Amino acid sequence: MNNGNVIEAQNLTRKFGNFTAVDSVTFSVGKGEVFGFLGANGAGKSTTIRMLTGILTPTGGKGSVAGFDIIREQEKIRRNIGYMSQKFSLYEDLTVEENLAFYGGIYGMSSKEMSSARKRLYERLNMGDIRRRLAGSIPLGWKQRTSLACAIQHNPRILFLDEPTGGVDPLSRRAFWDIIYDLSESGITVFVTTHYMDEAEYCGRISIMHAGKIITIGNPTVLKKEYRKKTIEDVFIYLVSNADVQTNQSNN
Amino acid sequence: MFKRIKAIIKKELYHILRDPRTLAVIFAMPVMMVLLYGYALNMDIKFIPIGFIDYDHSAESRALIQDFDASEYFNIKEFAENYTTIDYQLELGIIKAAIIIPKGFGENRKKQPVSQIQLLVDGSDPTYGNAVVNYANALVTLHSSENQNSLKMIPINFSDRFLYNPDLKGAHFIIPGLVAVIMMMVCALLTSITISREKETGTMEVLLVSPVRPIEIIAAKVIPYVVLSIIDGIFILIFAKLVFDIPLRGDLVLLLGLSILFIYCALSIGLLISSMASTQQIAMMAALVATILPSIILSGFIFPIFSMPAPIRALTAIVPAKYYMIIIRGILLKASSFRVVQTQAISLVLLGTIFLLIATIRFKTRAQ
Repeated sequence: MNNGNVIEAQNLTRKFGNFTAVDSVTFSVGKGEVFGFLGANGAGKSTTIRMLTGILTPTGGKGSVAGFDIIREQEKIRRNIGYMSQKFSLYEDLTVEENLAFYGGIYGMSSKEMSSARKRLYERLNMGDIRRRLAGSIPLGWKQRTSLACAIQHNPRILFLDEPTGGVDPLSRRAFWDIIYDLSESGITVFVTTHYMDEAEYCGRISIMHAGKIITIGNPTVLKKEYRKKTIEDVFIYLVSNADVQTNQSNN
Repeated sequence: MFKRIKAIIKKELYHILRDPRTLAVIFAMPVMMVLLYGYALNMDIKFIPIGFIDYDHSAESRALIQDFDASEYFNIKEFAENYTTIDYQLELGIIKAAIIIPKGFGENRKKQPVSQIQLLVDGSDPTYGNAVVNYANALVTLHSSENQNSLKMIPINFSDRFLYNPDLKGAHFIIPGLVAVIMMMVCALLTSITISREKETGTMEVLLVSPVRPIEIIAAKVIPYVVLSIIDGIFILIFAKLVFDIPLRGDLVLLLGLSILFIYCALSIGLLISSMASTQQIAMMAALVATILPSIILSGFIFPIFSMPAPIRALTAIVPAKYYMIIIRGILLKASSFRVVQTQAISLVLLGTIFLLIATIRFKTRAQ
């Protein structure tokens, strides 16, 4: 199953009772890729991420992350990934530095490792000035950056970002994506869900999910050409409304 | 594993030290409750306001009134001429009881073996009313034995002695019970709030994706509160000793050991609540209803369990504080040994385990 790909999913399925949240999805992500995971709310993106990160057990299919089986080796997976949620998940009554120290601690980093990681991150993310401020008191763009720093300080091989730019101003979003590119260049694989269609254009490859299924997958430029649309947003709308028409026809 | 737990404990201490509300619950609440329950909730009733109607006006009736007047338990507010005045004052609450000495009382006392006077008591507060009847009875009995006219008639007297709390001080009974209430508050309430806070802010999600095991999260989250609740318990006992002069007779090591069983129960309930509550608000309300109120009302802390109606009495069986009240009062006031309180100790272990099992099952089903 391992052929240079760091994420693999084969017919991955998750049912909740009668409801199929993720319906037999198959895809793979190569090392260092920035992979965009698109879909409307409720399309099954979060459920897929939760299965890949080992919080949720699939009801069907199989998959691997960083070479480890997502059903049997969840603990090994967790040690090799970083995760940033859309809520940014900082402790607001802790300073930026204390947040970093906490997340470093739960990844088992020694204080020596942490202080060198912090030094590197402060420089790279340009956040030296805010390190002593409470996370609750800094602007959203800085919270996002801090949250990202928490997710990457233990040098994960794969970074999962669940809607990482929600509510953040365009300038901060742009700066954030610059960092994402940097990370990808240094060999970290980035798996990102978003519903900002302009962000999808920044990804190396995207997949569009609808009603639990992946309806298309590929390079944004190639997809735009294939469907003869100007933007990914148009591709998305075209595919999703098409898929809806098909479901309705088959139901009738 | 140790590194991860240490990181979480450290973070938890920051939360505690930086949140004024948590600090208030942990440090100000015990002080406030000890003072409130120790002083304000004084069940040693004194200076009961009473009225008299003396239809007799004899030396004997005056002697009886004199005794009531001298007693610190009674405070004579009114000497009425007729029943209407007394009735009115009882209704207004100016007096809580009235004693009516009939005409011929003095004559009767000289001739008859038994004489009667009437006691009217405001029964709207039964506890208070009972106390009034008991005090009045005691005083009249004492009075009649001291003013014995005929040597032929020797009344039987109890020579009574109250064991364990000879002065019948309410604080001796209440303050040890407070330890149970405070421990329940710190362990169940604060633990459930701290866990549901992680769910509410989304940080739990990140913890679950990290290498931390759920059991490590829970262990690290409860350890600070266990330590704090033990400190609170010790603090209350020191306070009890210094301010209220409560004896602390028994084996304190035994008490500590059994307190840990109670803490185990409280934590299990706290975890059970946090497995059901998704926000801090819900957790707080649930903890209040499921832990604090039963610990005060259904535990025998203030209201005796044996006088509750059968269904409620049955309900008290699942209130951990009920067992712990018996343990802590037993050890502190009666110097009880383990053998005396072993049933309660076993009950705590069983209850705690049952709550913990339900919480675990709920956590597992929710995680899927």
